[in-house]
Amino acid sequence: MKLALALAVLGVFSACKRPPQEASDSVPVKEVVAGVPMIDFQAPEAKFSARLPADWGARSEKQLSREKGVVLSPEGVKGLRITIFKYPEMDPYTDARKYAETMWQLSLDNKQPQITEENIDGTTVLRFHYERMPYPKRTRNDDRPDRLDFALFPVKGGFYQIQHQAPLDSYEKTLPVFEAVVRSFKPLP
Amino acid sequence: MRPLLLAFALTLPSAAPAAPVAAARSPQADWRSEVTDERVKAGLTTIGWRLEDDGRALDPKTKAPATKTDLDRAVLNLRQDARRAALEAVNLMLDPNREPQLTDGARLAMLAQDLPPGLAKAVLDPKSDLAKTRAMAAAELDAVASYFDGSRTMAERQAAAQPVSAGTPGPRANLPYYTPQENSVGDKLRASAAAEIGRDPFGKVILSRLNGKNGRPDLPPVLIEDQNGPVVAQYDFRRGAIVLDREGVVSSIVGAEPPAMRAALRSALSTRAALLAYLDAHPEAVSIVVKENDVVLAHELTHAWQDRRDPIFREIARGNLPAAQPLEYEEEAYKTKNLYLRSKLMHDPASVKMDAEFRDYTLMTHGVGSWTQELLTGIEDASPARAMSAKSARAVEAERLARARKRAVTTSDEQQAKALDLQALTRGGRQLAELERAHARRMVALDAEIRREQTDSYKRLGSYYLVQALTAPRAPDRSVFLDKAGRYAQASGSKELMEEVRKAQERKG
Repeated sequence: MKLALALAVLGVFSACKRPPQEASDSVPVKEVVAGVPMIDFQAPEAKFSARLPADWGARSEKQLSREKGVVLSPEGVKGLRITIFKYPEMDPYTDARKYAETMWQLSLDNKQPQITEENIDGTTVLRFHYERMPYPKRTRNDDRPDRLDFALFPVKGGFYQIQHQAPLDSYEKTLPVFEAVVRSFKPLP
Repeated sequence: MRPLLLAFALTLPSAAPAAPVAAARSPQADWRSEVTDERVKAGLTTIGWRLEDDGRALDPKTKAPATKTDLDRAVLNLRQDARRAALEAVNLMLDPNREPQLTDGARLAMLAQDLPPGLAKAVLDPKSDLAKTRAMAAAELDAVASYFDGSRTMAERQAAAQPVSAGTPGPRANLPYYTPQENSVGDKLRASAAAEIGRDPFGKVILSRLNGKNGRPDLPPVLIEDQNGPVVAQYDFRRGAIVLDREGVVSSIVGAEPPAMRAALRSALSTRAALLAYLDAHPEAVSIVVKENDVVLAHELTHAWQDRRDPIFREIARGNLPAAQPLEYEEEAYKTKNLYLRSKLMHDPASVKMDAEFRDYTLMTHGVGSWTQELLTGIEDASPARAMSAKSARAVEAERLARARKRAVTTSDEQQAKALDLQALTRGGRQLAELERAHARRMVALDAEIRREQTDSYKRLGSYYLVQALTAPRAPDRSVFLDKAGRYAQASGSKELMEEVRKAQERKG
């Protein structure tokens, strides 16, 4: 169903003319991660490039101005998404570490998640994760918390936040996709 | 308390093939056997039908049990309305002039459920010819438009062509209460809500937006009905009423009882009639329901204000605008209820529960931009055919206008009908454009207010957690809350609060 639908979406739009840099069916699949085809994507307004899931539909048009980032979510899976947000364009935070150190406000256990540093292509990236309840609720009887994983890329005057959000009992399935996004992420000049 | 999600959404499965032929004497309908689809059930309730526990489907106009024929007709109308919404959404996606956007597959799959089978197959077939699919969608839209056009009288068209004036009720279902007891409970809930929300200064502001001719808050009627999915409440603009979810109300009442009493009370309240009788006889239960749901009510009252402030809901009710769930209105209502919660934190922190609404408030306080994004994405996920921005609704409206312009007319009546439709649709588009402009202005002001008081919010949250730490019965909770109070005190920079937390930590030590 999932694959069929992905093909269907591509089929519907196959005759549409897309602007360059837009993720589309005309962009070649570079690799398949955890069963998810990945394409190279550039966001000139938000000034980054990354390898993103081909069929997770970048929903940057309607609710999110393009200079702030993108929201990606796969078909048929409620509550699963990867977002790439640019700060301070999204919210007035400019220091990645200070921002990371505010996550105790949101975590389900009321504690500050441990922040680790990772060198990715010469950039010191801040990594952490925590759990919290989704809002609004996915369905009436769904009391599963979400797990949120983060990678913060500091840049001059701000930072990029890459976030993976999924129900706690299934987040591991798509975590490799998130990791692939993180490893390929590059701020553009 | 369950989280808030509005139920304007109505997406239905494939339309019935045709209206059943009316029998001379149609038997009384039993919705339990005839309405098995939860979405249809929710849709009927949304337009004012009352689905009783005993199977009777009460007609919103007559308030009497409907016949099978009447119920079938209402269901067909719902399905056609859902089909039109799905067709209009898909039609927008197929527009060759639209800026391309990789669409959300889940949205398309949901929409396909409401499309005619042939079109659904074409849309989901990668080998389909796009031009042919577009033509098919346009033909289906013409057909469904004819269904609705054909059912409107000239008098209805003339009424719809007239602008709605701010403050007027517009075309609504009659008073939504079906029985004197329901009316009595509704009035008690309204009075209790006004009293509870009015205790807070910002709550007073919310109420004052609903002031009636006598200068006092005129809250909309409040109903208790079964809601679909995770919906705890909704403002039903077609009835001009707030609807609370029955299960949510029962949970509020039962949750206030000692654990040993809960099962028996829940069992006693298992029918809607029993619940209404209980609320009518127990004012303290009414008060509990309101106190448990006051933040949710603040949200719904904001929708009621939007309904009186702007013509959008009334135009939707008249069929002049697509039956959208405007995301702009949701954003405003969610921010408003969170500002109400913030005000409660300042003026009466003991009344704030550590529940989903509180967590939502902390999320918004942390970053209103990312919070807004998550909120709107979640609403779109929940309601793919109806949740849309004013901009998207305007695109649908433009399509409707173009379709009406193309409509061939031969008789003077048809000519008049077309002119009236064009008048109404043109005005609808203008009103959506105005909503876009006004919303942008309103959100600049609201966001500035939210961000301006972020430091104060930290101080309030610190005080709140300090109180929680001092009163929590469990030692681990006390420790966690005290830690959080300390962090918020640091974030706020309040030396006074930091000192209070330090003393509390010393006492704990």
